[in-house]
Amino acid sequence: MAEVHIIGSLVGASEFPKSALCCHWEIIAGEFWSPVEGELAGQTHVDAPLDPELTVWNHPIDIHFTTTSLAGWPRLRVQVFHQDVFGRNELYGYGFAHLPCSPGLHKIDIATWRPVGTGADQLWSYFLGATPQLRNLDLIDSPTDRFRLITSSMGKVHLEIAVMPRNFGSNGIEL
Amino acid sequence: MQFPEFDSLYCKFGFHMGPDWTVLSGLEEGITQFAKSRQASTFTDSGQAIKPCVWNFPFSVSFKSTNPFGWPQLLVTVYGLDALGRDVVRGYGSVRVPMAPGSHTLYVSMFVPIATSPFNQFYSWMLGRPPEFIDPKFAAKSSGREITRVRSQGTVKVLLNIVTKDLEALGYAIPKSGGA
Repeated sequence: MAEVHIIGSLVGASEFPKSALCCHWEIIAGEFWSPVEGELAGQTHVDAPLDPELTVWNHPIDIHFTTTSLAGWPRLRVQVFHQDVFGRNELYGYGFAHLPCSPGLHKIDIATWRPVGTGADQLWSYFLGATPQLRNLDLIDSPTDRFRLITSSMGKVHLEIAVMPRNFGSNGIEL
Repeated sequence: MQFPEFDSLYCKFGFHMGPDWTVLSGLEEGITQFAKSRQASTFTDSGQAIKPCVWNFPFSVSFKSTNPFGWPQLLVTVYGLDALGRDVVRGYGSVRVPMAPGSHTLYVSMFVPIATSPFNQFYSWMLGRPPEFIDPKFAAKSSGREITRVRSQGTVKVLLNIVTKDLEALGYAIPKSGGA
């Protein structure tokens, strides 16, 4: 059986309209993948940075998978929230990235988006701060129907992930 | 290292690693000298002077493990003196030790927790004791972060030379040399 270690960190975010942000992350893998050790989901702290260019999370990620198939290679799904001065959390972005297959360190930027809804929704969220959210989060990282969705493009989430596969070569798989 | 708002800093560092890891040789903890910053030669985008503090502190350590899970993280905590000469924490940070052999220059972004309410903020300012983490290894852990608010400021520069042994013999794929 082949194993994969995914070791890295959720570095931070930039280019969002406001910089006091936190992020909920989740690793999603197919049915043939089983996690051995490590946390598959988590939430970062809220950082209100001194330098508004870069929000720092530095959230460690360390996961050990075993797998019998390449199908359903793990993906990282992120949801970014902005926390305002009253402590309210507002959705600022959804995004995902396939974790790389090749061994070594990878720096990945996840570009994010958020639903904006109708004109009435936008007016509502302008005054009351509540933005529309997805009811089914699987839409973030699955190729299902997104055609009717109206979204707004948001900032980037920065990720540094090292991948260390084991025993793929002995199964004839080149990474 | 560079902290835009503070000079006169020292640093404690250590390693945090998983259950299967042991230290084979060397010191896995240390504390630097107390360094005053030098004249600024560079400025941030907002025009603030960047005054680096130089520690130039050596360390050397080797680890052994049966499992890459819990690969070591370097934990850095920076302390400084406030206006009355009391030790206060200026930043927590952590960085994963690179997995690829070679020479690596890393910049650790530092952050400090901020008070949960304006009253606490005022109270800690009165006492001269800004909020601290109870667990000094908080920065290297993934759990318990969702209720924390921090302010990030400053970076610490670390230069590491990494040598690995027997990873390939155990079936682990490692990146081709030259890759990060």
